Amino acid sequence: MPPLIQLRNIEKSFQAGAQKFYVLRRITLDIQPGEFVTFMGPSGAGKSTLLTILGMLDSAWSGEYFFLEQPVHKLTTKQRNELHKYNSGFVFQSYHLIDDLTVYENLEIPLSYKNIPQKERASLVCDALDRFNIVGKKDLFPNQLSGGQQQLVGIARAVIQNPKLILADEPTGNLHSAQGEEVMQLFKKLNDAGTTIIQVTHSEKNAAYGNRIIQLADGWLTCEKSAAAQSEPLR
Amino acid sequence: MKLLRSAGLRWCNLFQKAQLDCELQDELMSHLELHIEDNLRAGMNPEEAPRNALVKLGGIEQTKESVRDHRGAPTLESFLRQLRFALRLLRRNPAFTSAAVLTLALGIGANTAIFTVVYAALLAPLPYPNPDQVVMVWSKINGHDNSVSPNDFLDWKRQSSAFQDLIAMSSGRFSLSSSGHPEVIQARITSPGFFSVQGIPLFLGRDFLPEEGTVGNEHAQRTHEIGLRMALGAGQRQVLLLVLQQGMLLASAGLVLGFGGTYFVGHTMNSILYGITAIDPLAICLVAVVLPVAAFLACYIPARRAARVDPMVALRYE
Repeated sequence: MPPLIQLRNIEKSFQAGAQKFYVLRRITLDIQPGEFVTFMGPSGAGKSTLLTILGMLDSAWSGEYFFLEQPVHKLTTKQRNELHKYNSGFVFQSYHLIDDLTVYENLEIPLSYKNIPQKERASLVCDALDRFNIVGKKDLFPNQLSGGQQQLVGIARAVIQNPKLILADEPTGNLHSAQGEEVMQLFKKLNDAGTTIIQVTHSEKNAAYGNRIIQLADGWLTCEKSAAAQSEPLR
Repeated sequence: MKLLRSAGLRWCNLFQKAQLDCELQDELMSHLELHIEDNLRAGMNPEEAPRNALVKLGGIEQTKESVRDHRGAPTLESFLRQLRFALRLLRRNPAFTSAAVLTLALGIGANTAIFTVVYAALLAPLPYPNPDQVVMVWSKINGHDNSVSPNDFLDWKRQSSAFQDLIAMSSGRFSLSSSGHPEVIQARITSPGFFSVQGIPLFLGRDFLPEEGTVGNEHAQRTHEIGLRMALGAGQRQVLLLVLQQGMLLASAGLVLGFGGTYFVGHTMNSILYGITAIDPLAICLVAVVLPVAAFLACYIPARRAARVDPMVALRYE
């Protein structure tokens, strides 16, 4: 089976005066369908940046990126948007819910940009509300929820469309431990059903839910280990 | 012919979604079962076989979505969905919607009524010679419009052969004293020739209608929301439609109320006018055509700007 994601020499940099400041350096990586990958590393290592590139939210980088064998680096904005819309869901570190919409409507947004009939949208949203135990909050606005509840809605929004790939940036960073564990169990269940998960986390416990841990430092991939094996430095 | 047939089929499919969805569900489940059987025959264990089959099939929901995309009329459905959303958004902010609609209504009503009376009373429109020959000129820095320095202006004025004349202007606040009661007024400092170049008499006229500078600018406060919607799958076209629809809804509501106001004010003024009518059908027809076009253009430009928002920038600088 071909890899879901292939990265070849991905680099991202900013020009700061006369100096070029690199955020990512020569990232080469393959991710197979059905994997549960964790990016770890110190703050500023480039984990979140790499995640936004994988989620096709960032297009200012160089190198080659193949998603489902399609060359993302050669696609137009519209083609990238289509590819990302139908295949990936993003869990943001700072929730990013729309303040003017209720929880129900926030969950419906990604579905509304796909050609899903109203009835099915309603049933998918109700299912997600039920799965995340937030049925009672469906008519509330984000500012009426606690941080943890907002993050739950954010996760539910990414999961609702059953994407092939879920990208999660510190998904449990604002949840209490029981909620965090539930979320990770859910990710594990989704992964068992065939969904590829890529998460950024500082938590060893969350990383243990995955089958592959990739360490980043100063924009470089430094080492990689599986849940079962010892860490081994990358070439 | 093939295109026509495909369009006809898509149209018909819009009305039998439930049946088609049922058939699609059955078909996919049967495919999945076949895959699972194949996997079992190939020696996979019963736990791995369904997972592998799901991965190979590319996911039930994803396949369904892909099929739906090819059988319906997504653009039409998306348009209706956006329209409903825009209506709900306006309904959810009754204070803003009422204020905007009332402002537009009063502006349109008052302007139409005044314009009709002025036109009828003076028998001629405001003189504005060669308006198509007056343009604004800016300097550019990093691709953005920027004020012109006085020396640049003098150089342009001296060297330019493309323009009949160039006039500089900038705005400021001044104190106006009269009968010992000074008041602060907004004024413009201009170089000599400002009025003669534009041909506007000092005692009449205006620059822009209030709605020409306001409708559609809500996008500036909504950059984060638009960026987020794009990150969640909204295309540039959907963002364009969202902003356009909200602006046009406000403009339409304003137009309807404005015409009602025009009729009421005109009817009232008829009793104090002699020999002329306060309701001029020609002016009303012109307003009915020109204002929606102006509103559309006023919304379209910010809508296009909104559609070009970079999701990462919008989310990063929340």
